[in-house]
Amino acid sequence: MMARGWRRGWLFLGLVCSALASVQAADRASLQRGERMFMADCAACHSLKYLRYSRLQQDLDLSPEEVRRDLQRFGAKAEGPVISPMTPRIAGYAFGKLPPDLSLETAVRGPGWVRRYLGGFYLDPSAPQGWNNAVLQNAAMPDPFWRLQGIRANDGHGRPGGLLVPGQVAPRAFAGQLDDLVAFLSYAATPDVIQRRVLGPWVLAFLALFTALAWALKRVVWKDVKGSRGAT
Amino acid sequence: MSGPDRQPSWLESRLPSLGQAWRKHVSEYYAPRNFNIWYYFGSLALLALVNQLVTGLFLAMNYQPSAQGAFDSVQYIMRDVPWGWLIRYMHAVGASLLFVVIFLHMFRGLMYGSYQRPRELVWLLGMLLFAALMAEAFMGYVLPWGNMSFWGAKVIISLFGTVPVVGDRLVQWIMGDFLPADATLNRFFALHVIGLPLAILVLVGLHVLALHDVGSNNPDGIEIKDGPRGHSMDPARPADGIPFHPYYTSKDLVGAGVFLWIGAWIVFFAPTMGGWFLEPDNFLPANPMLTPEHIAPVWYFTPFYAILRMIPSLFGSALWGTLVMAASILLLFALPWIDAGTIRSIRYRGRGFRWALALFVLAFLGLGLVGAGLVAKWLAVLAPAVDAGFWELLLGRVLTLMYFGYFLFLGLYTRLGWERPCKPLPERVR
Repeated sequence: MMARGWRRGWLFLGLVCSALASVQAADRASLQRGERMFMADCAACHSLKYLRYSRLQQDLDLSPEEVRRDLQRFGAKAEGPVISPMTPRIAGYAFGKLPPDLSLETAVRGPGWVRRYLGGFYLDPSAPQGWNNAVLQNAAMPDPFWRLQGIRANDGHGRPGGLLVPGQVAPRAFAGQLDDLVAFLSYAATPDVIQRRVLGPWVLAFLALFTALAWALKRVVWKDVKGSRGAT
Repeated sequence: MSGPDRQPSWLESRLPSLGQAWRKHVSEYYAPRNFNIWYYFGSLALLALVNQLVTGLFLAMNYQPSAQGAFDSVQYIMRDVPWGWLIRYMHAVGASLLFVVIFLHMFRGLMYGSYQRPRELVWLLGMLLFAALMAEAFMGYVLPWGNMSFWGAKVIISLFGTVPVVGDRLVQWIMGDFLPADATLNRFFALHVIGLPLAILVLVGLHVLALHDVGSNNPDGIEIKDGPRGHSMDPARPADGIPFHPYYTSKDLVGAGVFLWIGAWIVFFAPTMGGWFLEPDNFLPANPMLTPEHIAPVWYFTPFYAILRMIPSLFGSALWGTLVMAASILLLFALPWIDAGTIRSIRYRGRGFRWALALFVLAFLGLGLVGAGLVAKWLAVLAPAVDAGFWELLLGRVLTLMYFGYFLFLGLYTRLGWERPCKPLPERVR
């Protein structure tokens, strides 16, 4: 009886751990895809000045080749942060101002806002860049993903309307890519989330055990007090 | 082991005060045996305070108190200092939880009349602690030098500008500049890590000393000293008292476990608490050119901030709002003298008191929602046609009247003989 109970317990624990591990692996794969997308489509203009390449490699389990490729592309050092090669002078010509650092963007605006913003571009010939955005009117940024999501017209209310040029990717697949990118930006804003998720359940389990022991101790100590539970 | 004919130890013979203090305040401090869940919050406040002191010490090792370096140094702590994120989240979440605990601790005092004679000084020292904690929290909030730090500091310090004649000079004297800047940040850091913590520790010591000299109140609001004598451990002690150690030390350990579990859950899984403990606008560096859309203080200041906002300028001066807000806190100081009742506990005080206290709590929570800007936000969604500003102001003013009405009611209720006890006081605690 006893042995079977133990075996079941271990089996249950194993199932829970493998479920947690597979969730974490899926999260990590999403973050890796988001990182690739950021480096390919965002990092030329936007920095993540609080995030180091070495930290990225460690947290997202990136291969040395992948990191080396990014380092070479941006002429960066492994211990250094993700800094875009965009200079204020070039940015001034191109956009009128330096593209903002995105290290804490999702912490300030919220991941939902960033996602809606990236999907909110439409063609606007009256805007300086030829683009406008439903979430942030007169944004200086042109649609970085027009090849992927296609070019959309103004629906008449300042929102993306009908598709003028279809994208290279099906809308649902592009939505998945945006999810990955926003997940990566959320990680970049609070990289501690990786450690927190691993450590959190153990700390809570320990404190639950501590509380249970403290409660048992309290019952023993209080057993002679009139009116208390556990009184004899 | 602790018999009377035992030889004193090396330490005991050289420092007998230590053992005396332990006996007076812990092992032979007789507390009523009927403490309920509301009596956890005193020891939890101490636990939360110790957490702030220890985590604050380690934060100060890596924080840079300068307008140039503060914001970056907080990100450095969050990302590059080993376990820095954990320490900072414990400090930020700990500050909010300390206020949760303190509010519940104060409510306990209101409910069971713990401020009444002979415990006026315990209450006064506690209120001084509350005021010092508010100053400590405000200055701590400025230190990360995010945009809300800057604008919060600007708004709160400008309250001193409403003082007639010297107002403007007073504001500059506090800030050391014309705007919150390097000088402000440096002095706030000094006050936050040395000045106020020292004051708070002294006040905590006095608060506990004063309590132990008069003895603890309890949910029945009657004195265990007036009851029969004869405890199993000491025949001269009240029969309804139990020594703090081991009874309440073991009980408070359970409370500490639950409290730490809740705190750890927040730290590990929701450290910003959806923007209530760490606000989104404070992830932007301080920027004097960029006013946040809504300037609202952290949640624990919102009820007082709402009172400030509800009072209009009169006779060309905005002083009145500041005065009324100050009064909302000063009246709490005066509570032992406002309440002239002889019955302490809500259990025996009659229906009028119960309703008044319930409305007071409702007003406090409602003012919190108004101060956080939630009422205006909800109105804009639920009833887009109405003038949200007008209804927010109306609601806020009604709640402000309810808040102050509590003190007026309590003074009249206990002096004009309106109090009808709902049942007689018991002979002994239950």
